[in-house]
Amino acid sequence: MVPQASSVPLQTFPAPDSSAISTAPPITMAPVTPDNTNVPQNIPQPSVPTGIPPTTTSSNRSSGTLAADEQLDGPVLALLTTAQRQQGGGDLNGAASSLERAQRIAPREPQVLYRLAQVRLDQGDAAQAEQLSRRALSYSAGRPALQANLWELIAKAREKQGDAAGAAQARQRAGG
Amino acid sequence: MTSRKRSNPRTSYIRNVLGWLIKLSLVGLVVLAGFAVYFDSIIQEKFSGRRWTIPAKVYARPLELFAGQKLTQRDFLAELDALGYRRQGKVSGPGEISVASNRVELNTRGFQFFDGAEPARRLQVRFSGDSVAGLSSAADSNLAVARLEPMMIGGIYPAHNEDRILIRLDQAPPHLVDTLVAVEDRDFFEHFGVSPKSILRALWVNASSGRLVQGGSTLTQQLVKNFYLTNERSLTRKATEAMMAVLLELHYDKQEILESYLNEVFLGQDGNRAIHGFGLASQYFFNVPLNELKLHQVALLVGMVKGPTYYNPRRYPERALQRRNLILDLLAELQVVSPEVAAKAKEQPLGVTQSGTLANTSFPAFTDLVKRQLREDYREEDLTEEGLRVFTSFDPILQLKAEKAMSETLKRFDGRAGSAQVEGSMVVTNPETGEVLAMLGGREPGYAGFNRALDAVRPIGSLIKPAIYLTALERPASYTLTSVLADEPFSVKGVDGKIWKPQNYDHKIHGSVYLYQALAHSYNLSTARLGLEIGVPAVLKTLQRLGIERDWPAYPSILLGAGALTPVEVAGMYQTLANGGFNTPLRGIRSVLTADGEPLKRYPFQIQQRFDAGAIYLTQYAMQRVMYEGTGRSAYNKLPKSLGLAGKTGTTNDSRDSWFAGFTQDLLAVVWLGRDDNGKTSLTGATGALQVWSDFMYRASPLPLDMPEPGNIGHTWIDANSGLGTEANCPGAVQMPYIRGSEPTPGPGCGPQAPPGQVMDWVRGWLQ
Repeated sequence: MVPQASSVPLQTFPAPDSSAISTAPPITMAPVTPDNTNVPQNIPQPSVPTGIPPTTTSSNRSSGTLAADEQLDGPVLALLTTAQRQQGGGDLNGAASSLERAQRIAPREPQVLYRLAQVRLDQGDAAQAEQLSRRALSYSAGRPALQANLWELIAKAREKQGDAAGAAQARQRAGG
Repeated sequence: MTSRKRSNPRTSYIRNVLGWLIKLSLVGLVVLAGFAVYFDSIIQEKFSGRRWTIPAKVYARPLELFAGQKLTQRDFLAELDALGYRRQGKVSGPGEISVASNRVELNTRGFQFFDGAEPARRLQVRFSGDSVAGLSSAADSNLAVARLEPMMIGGIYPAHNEDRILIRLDQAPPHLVDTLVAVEDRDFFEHFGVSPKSILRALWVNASSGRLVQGGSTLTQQLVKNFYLTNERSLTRKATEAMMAVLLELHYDKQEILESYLNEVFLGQDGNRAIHGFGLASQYFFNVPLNELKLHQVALLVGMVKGPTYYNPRRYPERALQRRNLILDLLAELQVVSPEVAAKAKEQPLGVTQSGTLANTSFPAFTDLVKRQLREDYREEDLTEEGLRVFTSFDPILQLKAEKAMSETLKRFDGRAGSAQVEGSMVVTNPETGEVLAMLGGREPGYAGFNRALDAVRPIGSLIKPAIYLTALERPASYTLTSVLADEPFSVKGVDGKIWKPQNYDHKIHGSVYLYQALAHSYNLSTARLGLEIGVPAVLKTLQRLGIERDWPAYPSILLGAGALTPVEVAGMYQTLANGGFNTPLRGIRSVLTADGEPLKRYPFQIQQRFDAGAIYLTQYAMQRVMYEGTGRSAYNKLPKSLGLAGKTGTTNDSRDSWFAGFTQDLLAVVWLGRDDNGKTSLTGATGALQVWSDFMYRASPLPLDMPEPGNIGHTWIDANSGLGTEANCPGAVQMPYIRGSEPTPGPGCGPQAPPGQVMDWVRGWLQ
């Protein structure tokens, strides 16, 4: 484990001790999933071979057409409203602070990240605006209207960064 | 004539004397006036500007309250206790709570945050199971969100210092001013700075008792003495003091002098830190804000003015109690309060908290992190003098759980060889925000010594492996989770001719294994082969993108974790893995306000996408298999399988370092165990650090890991035996995630079904 005085490997070759190979257990392909008899019965055995929760739920849950605000929970909605008021009054730092508060409550709500991206853009941080929008997109499966808004925001952020081609690309995805 | 003659020298003598006297007194007056002007300038200078320097104060995160929040009633009450809330039958003012079976009523205190003021208000919080079922206030039966005031967790003090919490006169509780005036300076509102009456009374009392009982100094004189003069006992000083007191009264009104006095007075010593002012004394002795003090507490603090050390209620409770009751009697005698009220107050216990926990910070590792961050952005004087308010992400509830997990788990190891020397550290973060929530710098909670979380640089062993697999999985054309790797011995010759010959931990050879299995079981041979195939420089590049800023040489031994990192660096590396490939610099500070509550600086959430979401998804999947069937599986002895934990063990040679790093949806934790002298332990990553980690997660009851599925990921049915594509209904068919386009080619399907014997073969192979 101690770093050796050797550099990048030059070559690989089988170990000279060939007996090690011959005494090796027969090569068996380990199964991807244990046989049912080996698994405690209380473990859910869905389509995924382990107790890992099925990942499809995330997209099911957030399915819906428009990312309407009424879909949001009480606290997140309340904080987005506060942030909007602060942003309207020119208090961008306060708005960002409220939005991060909302993010801590609902870290996977893409609308929170979307609003935060908008505030960052207003603050002149186009790079973060784009990154936040991209993070929001990763949580926006099944919400095409919100996705379009996010791509539009990415387009604006790219324009501000002088990336016209990237902006056009993003705008195309916003339109599609 | 003679008489005139005779009188002449006399009168001239008198005249001379008179003349001299007049001249002298003129000179005296001029001198006096000079002094007065001089003193006046001193007074004005000090009093008109900033009167005190105040150390920065560090606050924990405020506890948020909203319906649906994951918070047990027990943890909520623990937080309220720590904030000094008092349990009452009925809530009637700030800082009071009343507890029913599944309901807590409280009156919050209100607080000025970065984004606005949180009002003090009556709240009702209802609990159901492990979460908040409902929140309401007097005005709103369905309140969306509220937050408590944050707990103060420390300050930034110079080596020797005065500390205080500034208060305004209107924040003084009832009777504080009355009591102070009654005890220290009865004529305060009548005199002009000095009080001949009190001096005479003091003389008389002292003479009749034969010792120095009363000082006769007015509050103004005391303030002047504390502010401008030394402790020297001389007539000159006394005269200066009197003169300055008169001047102070000429310039400033009684209210202002009183407010300064309340903030200035010395009330105790806490190590190197001097406790000044009633505001801080109230927190230091009773753990409540000044305005919530009750009569008996006010009496105690005012009684301590005379001799804060002599009447220290923690050290001399009897003496302090006597003094307090004497003062309560005096209040009744002077009709400040009724005899009944005084009698009732006398029945109260002293009520001081066990120890003042404000200065010798209870959470040294985390405050250390905050200080280091602040010192990058502020000058030392700004931190120790400007009274800045620093808001952090520190979660005291999780911190206590981490401390408990560490100490209880290490206690179980007692008796094992070398276990007494085993030290530990831990970092807990929120994977989605990058905020540091808790930190342990050693196994002993609250002990401020070597902060291992930030400063112990130790080889990370197999914790590096996810970086190797991620590098491979970013090349879907070459590698998938079911690529077959050869777990067979080999050696590599370096440029210097030295041979590197890795071995598996169990010294066995596992033959052909799927890629994800090599990670799950932490096989060294197959991992090292994979790492060499993709190249050590490529792995180093991945580490860099994961946030590691170390300049490691591209040696093959790096592939098995020869490189050394601190626990907090490991947390940063795993943060990116846990957060969908988005790198977020770890943050401990949210914002900084000035002493007046004006926003000064924010430490915003910042992210940067560093990896393809699909490659990260696959890596997380393999890390979940580590927990499900690999080296991390013992975690599920304690935790429900539904959590879908993802993580990795790490063990270095001779078990000198025992590591575990892993995450759920909302918590990421890194644990290191080992010895400061780098000696051997009996702990592997799985038998040591993982046990602490699991115990912590058990206490913290995290949210299950639910990875959003990236668009480029698809799930494909494959045959467990061959790794080839198959049908869902075929025996041995399992589903695996692949980056689209990298799915294995379809196999023969299950037209003629595989003989059951072969299935049993691979079950046996898996079991051994």
